[in-house]
Amino acid sequence: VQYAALAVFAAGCVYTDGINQKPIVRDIAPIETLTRWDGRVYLHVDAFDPDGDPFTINFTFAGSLQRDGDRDISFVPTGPGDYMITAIATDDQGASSSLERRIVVPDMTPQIGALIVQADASATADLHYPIETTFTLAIDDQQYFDDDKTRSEDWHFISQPAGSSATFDALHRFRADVSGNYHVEVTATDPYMHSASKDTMIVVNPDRPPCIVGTQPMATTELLVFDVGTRNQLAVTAVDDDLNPFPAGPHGAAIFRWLVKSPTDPSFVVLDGYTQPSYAVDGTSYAVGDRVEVRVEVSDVTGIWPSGCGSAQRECPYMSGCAGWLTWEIEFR
Amino acid sequence: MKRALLIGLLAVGCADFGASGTDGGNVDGNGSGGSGGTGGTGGSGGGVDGGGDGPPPRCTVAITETSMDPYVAPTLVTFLAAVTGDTALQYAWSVTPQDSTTTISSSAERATLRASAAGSYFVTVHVTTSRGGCDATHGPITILAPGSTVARIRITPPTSDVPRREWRKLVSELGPGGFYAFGAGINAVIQPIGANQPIASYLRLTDPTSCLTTEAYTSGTPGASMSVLPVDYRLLIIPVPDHPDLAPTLAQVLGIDLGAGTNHPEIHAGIAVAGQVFLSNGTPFAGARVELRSATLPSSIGTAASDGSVQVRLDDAATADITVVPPDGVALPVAQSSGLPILVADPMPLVTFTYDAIPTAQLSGVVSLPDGSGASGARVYLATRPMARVGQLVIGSTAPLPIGGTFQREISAGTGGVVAATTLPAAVYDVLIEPPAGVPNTARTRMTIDLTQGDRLALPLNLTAPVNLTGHIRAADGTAVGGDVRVVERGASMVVVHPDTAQNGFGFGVDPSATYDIIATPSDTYAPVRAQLTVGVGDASIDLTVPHGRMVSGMVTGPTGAPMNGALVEIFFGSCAADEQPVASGVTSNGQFLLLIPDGTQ
Repeated sequence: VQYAALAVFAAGCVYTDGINQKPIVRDIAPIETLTRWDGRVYLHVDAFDPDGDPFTINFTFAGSLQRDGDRDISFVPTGPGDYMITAIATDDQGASSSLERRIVVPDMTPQIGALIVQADASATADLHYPIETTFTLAIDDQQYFDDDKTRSEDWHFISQPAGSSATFDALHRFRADVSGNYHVEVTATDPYMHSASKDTMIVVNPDRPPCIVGTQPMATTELLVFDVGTRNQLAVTAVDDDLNPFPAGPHGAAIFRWLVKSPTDPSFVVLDGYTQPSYAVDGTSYAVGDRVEVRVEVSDVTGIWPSGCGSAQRECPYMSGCAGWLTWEIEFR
Repeated sequence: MKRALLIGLLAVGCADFGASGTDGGNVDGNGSGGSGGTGGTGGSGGGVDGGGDGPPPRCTVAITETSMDPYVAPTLVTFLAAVTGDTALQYAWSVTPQDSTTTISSSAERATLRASAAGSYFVTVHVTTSRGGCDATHGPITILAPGSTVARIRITPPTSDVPRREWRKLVSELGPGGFYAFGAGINAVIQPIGANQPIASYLRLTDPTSCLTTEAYTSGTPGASMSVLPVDYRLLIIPVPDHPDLAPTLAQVLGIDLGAGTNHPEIHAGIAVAGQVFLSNGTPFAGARVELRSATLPSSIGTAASDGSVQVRLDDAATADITVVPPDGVALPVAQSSGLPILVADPMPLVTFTYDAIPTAQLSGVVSLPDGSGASGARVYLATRPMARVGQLVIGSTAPLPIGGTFQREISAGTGGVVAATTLPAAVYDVLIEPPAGVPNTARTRMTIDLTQGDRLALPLNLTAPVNLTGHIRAADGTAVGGDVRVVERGASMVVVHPDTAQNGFGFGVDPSATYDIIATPSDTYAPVRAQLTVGVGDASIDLTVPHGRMVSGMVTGPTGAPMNGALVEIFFGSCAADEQPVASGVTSNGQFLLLIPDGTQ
């Protein structure tokens, strides 16, 4: 609709141009509420011309502005903050007006959905881990939401078992040096100092004593007969342990000590320096009819040797059924 | 009389269970794929006659190769004939072609082919029975020319429920991608019978092809349970405690025959050998232990009664060494007729051993640590060198035989390292002094002490500091190679193993005057190497040149087919021997192993 003011006079017309009103920009506003800065911001311009004149809109903006339609524009923020935009509407009569708006683009507060706990040892069915496990923690990026590509992470313990001196290293790792509950928290902070926290509980079981599950020859054989003058090897072929099994796991292998009770010994004698899983019985040291007992004991990184059994017991069994020590009885012929 | 004892039932059609030994597990387990064996009759022929109206009975015979290929000349190939349908009276073995390089010897159902040259052979057995006979031919048996080496891949499962075993291949055929499948094994129950009753016994099954043993002990009832393989074993049965009427007995058994029911091998009475043991003054030497040992097995151990009388039993007539062991604590040597074996026959005349009057001397001293302090708890091992004569042996009315011997004694140092005066046979002693446990920087120390000249009292028995053993692992061009070095001490009652890296050379503190096996396992593409070195009283150095390695890899699976983790894989070259060392060894991870053997070995 065009509006023209016309004054008509008789006997001649007095023609007076109508007053052209300038187009008006009423608002510049985001189409949707802005919550983060890492996406294109779409704006709609509300403008009209009171006269109905056709008009055009131009913009002033400190950056790259994209026109998406007659009244729609968009831009890509470079970060959170205030973006000033001015819309200038000009009709076909040359009348114009403008409106300046401050578009506030916010920085999103991060959201941490889940943490990833990696361990260098296997957890039990109830997700308890063995002592001495090294844990590597991470924020699950699939469940981390923020508009910033970078963040700083502060990993710390809300609580940890008494006596533990575990600390996080630069790679978010810690070694569980004491059994118990490690209550771990991470605070993620984005470059605009918005932060979020997430915590998790890691349960570490007490150390499980290692036990011998395989020997060669079988130590359960009541009596072995070796030939005088020959060397015969006794060997542990497998040790079950949470940390130090044999053959070795990531934390290393079990350690062994060997003891001998010769015919003239009142008790077992520890053989100093023997830490290997096998021991060669030197038959040249014995005479026909001699009997000797050879015992192997197993320990792990704790260095604690089996206890609670009488020295005369051939096996020192644990609750699990396997043994912390085994004894071969040998007769020489 | 040779008493080859066959236990259990021989099966027709069980052929080839031990013959191939190649990958794929075809020789594993309980003989699946062979068999038909559980219905065997052991040669009794029961039920075959058919009541007289049927066709005339006819025996059948099958030959089993009980040794494992590949065979490289010169070699032995062993066979077993199993007869069904009639009672075998006689076995006649022959080989085709018969030439100067092959001979076949037999003992009834067992035969051994000796081949000294390459060739392809067939072995035939003709069995004569009471109602006729039957034949079987086995072959071809391929004997490779000398120059090839047989590798034995020994795999020890981590747990004891699966028996360890070996596979055989030509070294030239070793490479990547082998497959080694353990079968379920054969569960055998063995209850030795002697003097018509179950006997408490030690049992040792030995596979002569691999030298692997399986041991067990039974207190008599029930028998001993053993997990065995379908191979030809030698079964040693030693009654323990010794039985007055029984001798340790050696038998040949087939593992596959041990699987059904309880096996009752017979313990032989053997040949009784009666004797007497006297001191030099004619006093009966009560408590002295006596044993005879032939080339294949020991006798029972006899203990002299108060009148010096003693009896032992040896399974068969043989030449045997005699050993006389004084009771604990007596300062007399162990007498041994090594090199002068006596002939044991049935009947055996009385054997009398009389000790010489052996002079004695006293030894005392103080064991001190390198810092001069007393080494309380140190242990002193004394061993004479062989003594030419310690007594004499009289067999029946023959002339006396001089018998040599040795003496060993272990003494613990008391407070302050004091070794109290100890009476010993006057001889030259090699002495090994072992420091108390946990004392750092102190070596086991060796010395020689001569007691032939009389007492040696208040001797300084000084422990010394270790000496340095250093060196490098090097490639053939002299460049240093990283790796792992272990040194294993020999000749002591202890063996010490030191792990170390060798990237920049290795260094160990070792005992002076000791002999070491040094094993270098390079971390690069080189094969392990082993050397022996006797260290002097000062520091020693050795460079170990490692050959380029050839990769040998494979997968090991257990009886269920699942990968076997933690199994020890060792590769040996050539025939098995006591105390042999592998050319390469490693442990499976997820069932897989990768080893390096010296390249160029054929």
